[in-house]
Amino acid sequence: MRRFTRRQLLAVLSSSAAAGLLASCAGQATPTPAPAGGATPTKPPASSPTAAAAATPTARAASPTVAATPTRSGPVTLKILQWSHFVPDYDKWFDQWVQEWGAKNNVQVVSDHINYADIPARAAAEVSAQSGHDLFAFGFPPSQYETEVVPLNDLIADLKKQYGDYYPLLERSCYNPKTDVWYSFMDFWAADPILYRKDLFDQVGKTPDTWQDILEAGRQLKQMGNPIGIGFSPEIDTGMAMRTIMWGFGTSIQDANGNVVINKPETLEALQFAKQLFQEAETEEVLAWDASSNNRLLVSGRGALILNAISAVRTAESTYPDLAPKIAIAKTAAGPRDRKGCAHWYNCFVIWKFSPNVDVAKQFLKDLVAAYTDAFKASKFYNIPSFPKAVPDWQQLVQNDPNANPPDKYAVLATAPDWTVNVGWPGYMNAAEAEIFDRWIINDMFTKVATGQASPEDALAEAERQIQDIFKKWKDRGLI
Amino acid sequence: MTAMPDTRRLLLRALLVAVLAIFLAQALFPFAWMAITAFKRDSDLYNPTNNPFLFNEPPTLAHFRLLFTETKFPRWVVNTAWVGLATVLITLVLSLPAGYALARLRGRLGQNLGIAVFLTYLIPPTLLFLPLSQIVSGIGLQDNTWSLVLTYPSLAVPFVSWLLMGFFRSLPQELEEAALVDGATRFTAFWRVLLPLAVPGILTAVIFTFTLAVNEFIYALTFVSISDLKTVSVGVPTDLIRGDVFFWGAIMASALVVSLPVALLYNAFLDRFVEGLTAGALR
Repeated sequence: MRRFTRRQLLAVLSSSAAAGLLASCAGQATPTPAPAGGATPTKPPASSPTAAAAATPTARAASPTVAATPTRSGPVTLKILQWSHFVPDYDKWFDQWVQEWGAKNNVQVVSDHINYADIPARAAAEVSAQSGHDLFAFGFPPSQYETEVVPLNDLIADLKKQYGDYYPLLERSCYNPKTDVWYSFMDFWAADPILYRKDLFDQVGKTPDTWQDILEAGRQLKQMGNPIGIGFSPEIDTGMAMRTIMWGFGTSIQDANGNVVINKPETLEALQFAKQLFQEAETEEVLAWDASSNNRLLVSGRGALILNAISAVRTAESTYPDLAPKIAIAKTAAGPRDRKGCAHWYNCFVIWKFSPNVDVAKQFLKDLVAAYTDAFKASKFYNIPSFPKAVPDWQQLVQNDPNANPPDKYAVLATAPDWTVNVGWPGYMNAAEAEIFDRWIINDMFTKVATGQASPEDALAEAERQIQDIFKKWKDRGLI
Repeated sequence: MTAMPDTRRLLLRALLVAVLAIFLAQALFPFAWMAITAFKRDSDLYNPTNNPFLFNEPPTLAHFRLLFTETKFPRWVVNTAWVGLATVLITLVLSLPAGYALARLRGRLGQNLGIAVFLTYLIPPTLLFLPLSQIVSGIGLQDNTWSLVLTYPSLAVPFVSWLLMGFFRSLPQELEEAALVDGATRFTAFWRVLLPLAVPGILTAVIFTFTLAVNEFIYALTFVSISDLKTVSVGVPTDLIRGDVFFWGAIMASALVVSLPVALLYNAFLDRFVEGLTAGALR
């Protein structure tokens, strides 16, 4: 009998395994995954608002740009990725709408959703692999990806021609004045108003109109066992809230021209105020919060006030029917010098440069804007359109929500365009501001002061040093 | 004279029971919490005045209904099972001969090779997912569960090879030498003599690899985005965590459904599992 040496045995096993794997891969070489969402409808709805625009995408789908796509035969496949919307019905509406749009335009549409927290990792992987989705929606302006995406200047020009002016928030979140590039398109944004327990504030005789009101009421409310719920931790809601406080006190990271201006007395004033707010009106739990913690505090019945999108109130309406009528919505609080607040969600679509379906993707975005009245309603007023004329009556619609108690609970959203600004305000959003946000530099500065780990001067000096380095890096790269 | 030892024995026994009770409570608490939450009504679950450990209202199957009818959970379970089993198979095919070879390679070469294999286990997936995504895309496996089946063994093979190496070392070499003297080939000796003795080690490898494949997140997130092809670890957070809103009841129901079979598997082979993990350590 022939004897195998150890080396021969390993060689046989390795080659057998490799052959098996290769054979298996070959069997899967042409996967035909079913698109997410419902079945493709065979007939578009008669009252589709996109009817007027329908002829164009059909023609474009057959244009040489798309037809030249290698390895494709038959209809174009448009792949879209966005977050799982907090209103499940919105995703159902969207997934059904994209299938109707696809059927009408001879495009197979794949609509994928992921958890919002996983968007950065997925984006990094797609850019690294240079493959993935044609349309990719971020929840935050993706300035750092400007060199990886298709400029959308022509799309914005077309939409502006059709719908008139957009909210300044769109331009300041998606446009780079230095390079003259629209690197993303934000179909909607979500306001970040004050959500507060009206019954509790009534008990202390206050309304949360200014930051000073919140501090004064908070002192008493904390004694009653109902603290204020503004985070001081490395997470997005804290990042938004701290910027809102800074703007209220008349300070910001950069000025309108992109110069770093954070080192000024107003910042120290904002830091001192935040320290008071934390120590006198909050509990230490806010130091360990994640993005959903403030929602939980409010719906637990214990929290008196949070800064959040209306998702927290909608959750209360569906799961806490006794509590929901006690929650009211107010404009972002005014500081001594201004009343400005972050948007809670910036739904920024980009088209990756590797996408073979650029024209189809742009047409999709145009038709999505045309369908925005339905989108706005499906989102339960969460998605505020970037082009106000796309949903001309949205500010009237929020005045009366039959499911809300009272029905005008959401009326204050109509004023949100006046006090909602972009990250990076009063300048444009840019890659440096995005990195500063992602690295929680402002959060850390406020937290160190609030907890007494550093004096306001030291914390500011440390933050400024980091911010200057980050701005220099991105200026050297030509994006600021 | 006998009273003292009895008292001491009783005290020791009480201490043992107390320590075991602490470990038991620690091990069972997650399951109890999952089960309670999964069957609680939302109105009960989210009422802060209610005792969270008790059913203050009658139990409900609503969260399971949501899980099985409003999401693609059954499909995700099937995908997870397929990916897990295929990963186990590939890992065993690669690790059994690797572990055996490392166990029998005496001297510095064998030691160094063993350490080198184990060191690759220390490289975290968070460092590897970007370069691997290029490879996955390059071979056309993006949005295909085969991308997971082929990459997960890179996480499991180093540890399993190391584990099996220790296990094979604990088996007397004289057994296979006797088989070789009787005319068996090296492969026959390995297949017929060593493998039946290595069942505890193999079971340990199977459970470890399957659990790893079920739990893995970052590769599953970045290589597969089509809803129908997702595994449980990505599908559940996608559909049941929406923005800052968590569907706790359904999340706990999904965790319960997925973790129970694995827990039962552990339980069924617990003695073998312990034997497999500790065999190499005793040598």
